[in-house]
Amino acid sequence: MGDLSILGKIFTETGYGGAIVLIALLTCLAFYGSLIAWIARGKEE
Amino acid sequence: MARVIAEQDMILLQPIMRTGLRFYLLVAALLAVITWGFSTYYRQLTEGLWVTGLNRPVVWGLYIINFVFFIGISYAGTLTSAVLRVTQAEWRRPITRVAEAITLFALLLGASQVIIDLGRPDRMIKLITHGRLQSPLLWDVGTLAMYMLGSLTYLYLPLIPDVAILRDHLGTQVPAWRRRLYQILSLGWQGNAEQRRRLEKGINIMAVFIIPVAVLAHAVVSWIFGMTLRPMWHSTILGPYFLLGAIFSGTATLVIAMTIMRQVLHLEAYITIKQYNYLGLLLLVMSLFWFYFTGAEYLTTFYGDLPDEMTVLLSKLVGEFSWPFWAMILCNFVVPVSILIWKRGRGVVGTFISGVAINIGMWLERFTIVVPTLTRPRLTFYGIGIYRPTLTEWGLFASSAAMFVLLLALFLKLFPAVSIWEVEEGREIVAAKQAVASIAASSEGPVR
Amino acid sequence: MPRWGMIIDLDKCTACQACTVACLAENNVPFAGPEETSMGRAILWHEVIGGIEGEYPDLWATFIPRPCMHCDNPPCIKVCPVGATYRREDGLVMQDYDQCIGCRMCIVACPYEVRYFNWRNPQWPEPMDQYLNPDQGPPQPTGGRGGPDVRPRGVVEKCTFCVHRLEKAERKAQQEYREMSEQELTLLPACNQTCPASARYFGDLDNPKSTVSRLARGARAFRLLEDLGTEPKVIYLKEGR
Repeated sequence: MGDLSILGKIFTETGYGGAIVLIALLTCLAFYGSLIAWIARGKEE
Repeated sequence: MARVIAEQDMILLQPIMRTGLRFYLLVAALLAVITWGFSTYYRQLTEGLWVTGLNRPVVWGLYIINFVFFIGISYAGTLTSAVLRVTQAEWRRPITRVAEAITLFALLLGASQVIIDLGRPDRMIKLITHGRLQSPLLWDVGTLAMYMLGSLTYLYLPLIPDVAILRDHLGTQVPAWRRRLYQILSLGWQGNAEQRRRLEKGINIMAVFIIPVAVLAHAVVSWIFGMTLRPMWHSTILGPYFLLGAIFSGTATLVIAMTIMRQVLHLEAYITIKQYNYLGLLLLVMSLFWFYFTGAEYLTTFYGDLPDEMTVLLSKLVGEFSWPFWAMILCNFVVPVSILIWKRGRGVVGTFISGVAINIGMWLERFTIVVPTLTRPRLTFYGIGIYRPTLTEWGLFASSAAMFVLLLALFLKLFPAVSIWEVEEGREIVAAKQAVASIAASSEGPVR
Repeated sequence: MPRWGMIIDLDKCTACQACTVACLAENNVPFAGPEETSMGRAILWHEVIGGIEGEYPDLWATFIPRPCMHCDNPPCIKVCPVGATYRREDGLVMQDYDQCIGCRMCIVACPYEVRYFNWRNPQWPEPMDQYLNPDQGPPQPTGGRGGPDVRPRGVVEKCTFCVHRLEKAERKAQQEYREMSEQELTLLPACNQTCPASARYFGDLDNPKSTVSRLARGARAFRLLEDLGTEPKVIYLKEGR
């Protein structure tokens, strides 16, 4: 398995996929959260 | 100020303020079904999946069918709400709320089907700690979770002004915990210009964002089948086919839900013949598209005449799966098209009947995709597989459906069924248009 | 590094099923009982599949002993979401029972249907439960053991080419500073050892001098569902039909 490129590794090895899913989810959460927070701050303007 | 609620809209607050006996009876009935489902699931947890009808080679059955079915229904919100919002279709206003709620709850139920199907649900966390990106199952985990969070946000944002209305209008008519809930959820909404601007922008961003996520999610669901080498699964059409099926069944579910809501909550003034006509047209177009996709797939398979594919195809056309197959054609194509092609058919009754037929048909479609292929292994020496779902599987289907209805009922008990501020905004737009038209007419007058 | 493969000579095979029985006993495969078996829940790491082919009067019987193909390009590994199935450096496709979440996607992906799901807790009738194979398989990535160790409910299992016997023999040969002999290798998996017709061979496909690689290059050699590109390492020999 030594000749696998880093991309191949990300696709096939355990853990990478889970981490990518987790990062995607956290990014989404942060995005949705900041959107809601931004709307909530609208009352002070 | 958005907090001012028109007198005519007070009917929307009625179910939130008063709870009749009917509601408690409904909840009790649903809870009974759900309890039954949980008891069968407990048996499956403690004894293993042998309590189902699953076997080799049919290792996937009702749970996976229902997974696809519920995920398909979830398209209701994304289409009716996001697509119609982006394209500024005015008639969407009274039905977006319920569509968005359907999306969220259907996704929750859909995702839970996969967990029910797992042999080792206790090891589920390994999908994150040891997840492999190469597996289509992980694509499902990622996109569905993204889709779920997105649809929760997309349901919540347009809810904010309405929650503020509830906060300001209900007072002591509701228990303290609900007042507190509305207080928190309203985010201090006062309806000032800046708040409105930000909310509109936020909703627009989410509407644009959630459409590709939904497309991806529905395609990915199909790819747990399409990425394998099984006959009639390993096909490029599967992704678009599932997406189309999702739009189809999602819209049909929306029609069913809004019709029941309209009758029970007396929303005839909001959900009018106009909504039925447009949704009926949508269903008609989708039905024709669905027939075209099905025909394209089956004709290609039939003409190619590859033995592995043909044995699956024939099992559907004339074999032991001909009953669900032709019932599917009837429910998804014959019934809706023959009703909805007429303008009179696109009324409340006609569209509702089509919606029910399409939901049955789309469930059968998932059945005829999942099971026949699994019964016909490529190595014909294995013979033909047989699958008879057991009471456990039906019980979990029934309780999942009951859970879906219960979530929807509780949601409508807490929040207005129709987006009050959006309907009001719609009225303002109509009024403004009329004003502009009358000004234009009067200023043109002397010239002529 | 060897690339283990198996040759099954269908011209010698008498379809006596001794291989199937030997496999069940060697690998502690649980009993399904008649009812579950009739529902398609029996676990058979090794199975003799086949039947009557052709049309009367031109009929012939085909029997194919079927272990796991241990493909070089295994579709099952691709679809596993947690890496519970993996390919060892010596080419064996293994299943990690402590890692498997029971989604059964590998079963669906395998065109040879060699993978089995534990629908319930493994059980053996008396006195079979007293005669389980105590041998330990090699350690798996998550720390558990492969091979004949009893598998829990809810996970997938399949043929390992008797990896526990293979590793034992490898260790023994190493200690004695020698290579494993052809004879030793051929009798390594339990199914091969028990074959009364001597129809089965086992060995290193990458060694050009080995019996298996010689037979694999022969005119009678073919593999199941070759056109799917899975590169199976179980090679069958048959003269015509």
